[in-house]
Amino acid sequence: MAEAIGFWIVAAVSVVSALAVIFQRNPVRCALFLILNFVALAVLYLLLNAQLLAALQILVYAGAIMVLFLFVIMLLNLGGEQIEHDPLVGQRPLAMALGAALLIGLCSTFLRWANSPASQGNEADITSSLSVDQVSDIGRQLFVHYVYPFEVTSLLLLVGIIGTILLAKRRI
Amino acid sequence: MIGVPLEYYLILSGILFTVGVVGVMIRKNPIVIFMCIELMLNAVNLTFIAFSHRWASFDGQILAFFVMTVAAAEVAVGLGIIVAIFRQRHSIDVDEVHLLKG
Repeated sequence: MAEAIGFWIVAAVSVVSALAVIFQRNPVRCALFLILNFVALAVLYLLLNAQLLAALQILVYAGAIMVLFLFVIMLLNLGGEQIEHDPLVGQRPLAMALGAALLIGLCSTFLRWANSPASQGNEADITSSLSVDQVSDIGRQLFVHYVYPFEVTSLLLLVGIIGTILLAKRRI
Repeated sequence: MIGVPLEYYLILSGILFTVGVVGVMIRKNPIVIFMCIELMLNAVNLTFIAFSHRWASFDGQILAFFVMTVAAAEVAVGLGIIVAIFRQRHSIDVDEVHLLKG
């Protein structure tokens, strides 16, 4: 019961802050609302018994990525967006209509899956499933079964660092 | 039924993903467009973790972990590109950057 109340409150905060991200004029306010959205998602991960991912969400997304966004916004020193005419006639109403179509398609797929026999059965027992010491269990999975994607990801981060430094240099 | 049914998390994830898609389509500032892309990635992360909770396995959480890592690398490189473009043109408007030649 308490979980349901918590879910509805946090879900409402998440949706309202996401809508504020796309409708605010000032990009700094967009970034702050996005941080609020990430924190709400971290609370949802806690409700889903994913403690390590909730901590990583705050550390990586709200703590590193959004700080980088705010640095770049303030570095470029932009004002609010000017309301100019759209390059295509009627672009915004068309975007809203397509978004509504996408939402209806996604929700109908989810509800059809939820009512199908594929989703029933094998109800996870919460107490026995995901253990308390999640960090070592996830670490064991990561280094035993997922070691190849892990090493490739470290290579990807190295390439990202080199690329960013090259882009920032004025004379190569 | 224990707690909140899974469909609610999936529908919330669908709503967040759609908000991100609409944001990419209607905004002109490339940094805000980038933020809407991050919103989409987070919606997909929520789906992964919801299913990981449903089937009681760590695979969804590990996939979400990799999505976070790739998103961090992508944000670094993407913002570097935006800053490089701004250094040349001194204006940020996605509609103006429509030719490959600088």
